[in-house]
Amino acid sequence: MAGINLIPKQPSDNKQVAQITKFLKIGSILTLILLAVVGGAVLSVSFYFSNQLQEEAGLQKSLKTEIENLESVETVMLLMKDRAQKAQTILQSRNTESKYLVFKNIVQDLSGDVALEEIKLDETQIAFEISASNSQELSKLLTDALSQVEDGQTLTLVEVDYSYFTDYSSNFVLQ
Amino acid sequence: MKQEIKKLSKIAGPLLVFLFVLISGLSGVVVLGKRTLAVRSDVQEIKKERMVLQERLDELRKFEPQMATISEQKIVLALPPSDPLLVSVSQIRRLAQQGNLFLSDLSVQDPVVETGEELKSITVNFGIQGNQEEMLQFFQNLLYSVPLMDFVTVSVERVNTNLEAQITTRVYWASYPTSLPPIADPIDPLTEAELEIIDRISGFAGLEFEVSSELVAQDPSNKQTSPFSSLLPQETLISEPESQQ
Repeated sequence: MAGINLIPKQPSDNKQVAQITKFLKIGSILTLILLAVVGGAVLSVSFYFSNQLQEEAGLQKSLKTEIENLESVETVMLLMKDRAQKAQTILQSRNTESKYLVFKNIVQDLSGDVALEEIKLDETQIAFEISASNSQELSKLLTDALSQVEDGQTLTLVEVDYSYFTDYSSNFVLQ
Repeated sequence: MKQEIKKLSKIAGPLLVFLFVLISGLSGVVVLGKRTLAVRSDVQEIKKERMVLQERLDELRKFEPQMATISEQKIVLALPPSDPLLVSVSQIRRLAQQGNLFLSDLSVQDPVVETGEELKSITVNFGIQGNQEEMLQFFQNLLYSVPLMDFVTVSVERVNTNLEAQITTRVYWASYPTSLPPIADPIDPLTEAELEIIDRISGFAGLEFEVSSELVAQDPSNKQTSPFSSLLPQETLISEPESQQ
């Protein structure tokens, strides 16, 4: 009887191994399927984006061609813009323009008894001398002149002289 | 112990297969995912570029019919691309002649002065004599004529019934731009303010020169020179003013 093992074998160990092996096999297959699905989906998305990229590149190329064909229009447009911007800078910096226009309005309707004797214009002011044969004309001139002055400008009556020979002489500064 | 090893060897095969599937699959998905994201990012980038190009094209198409209504010659003559000495002298002579004013002592001060923002100017001195009304009108005409001028100093004195004036004017000019912006950059269309300036200047007194009716850009295929180089207005002297009295 020696050598005979009467102790029953433990079937649970083999069963456990079989279960683990089965689990791993099923797990591998499921993982493979899952990854294939995910991979397929990612590939599809990638393919979609690649197509879109090609499509966009084509559109971009055709737009570039169209823009290149309109280069002459663009050149004129940019030139106009460049000139307009620079002209605007000049016109805005022309300090003499608005002062001159006010000055011209003041003196353009002088009556025959009033004469413009002298003008000195620079970038900061216009100084001018006016002679009048009587004080009434001078007073009228002053009233008219003050009504012409614009906001931000000042008209200063610097001096009024009277002499028998030259009548009334007045000096103004418009700043 | 032997049994344990036997058990493990039974599991090892499927385990390795499982791990291999998992790792290689995940790696593949990650690589593919990264690539997809990169392509998506490229698509977004190229879409942005296309939108900029589309806007640029739209602006150009919008401007194309406007070109016919814009008086481009006047704005170009208002601020010529080269020293406007001859043009300004001619303009001064013409305006003086219009007002029956006697022009004298015409001279030009060197050098050319850079007045900021790529603007350059020359200074022209001259004297005029004539009656008050005409002289005042002459000053105004000078301010509203091309090329753009500005008074530096004006000194006027009465001599008998006439006025005598010594005038120093600044005449401006500016070089043309040298290149177009890169094609992928957005383009700034003409603003209302700029159109207003162009419109305002179109009312300024022109020259006694005849200017070609169109500014034609050069052939786009010719990249050797600036695209603006051929936009110089073609000036042709059609009438020389009569000499001053």
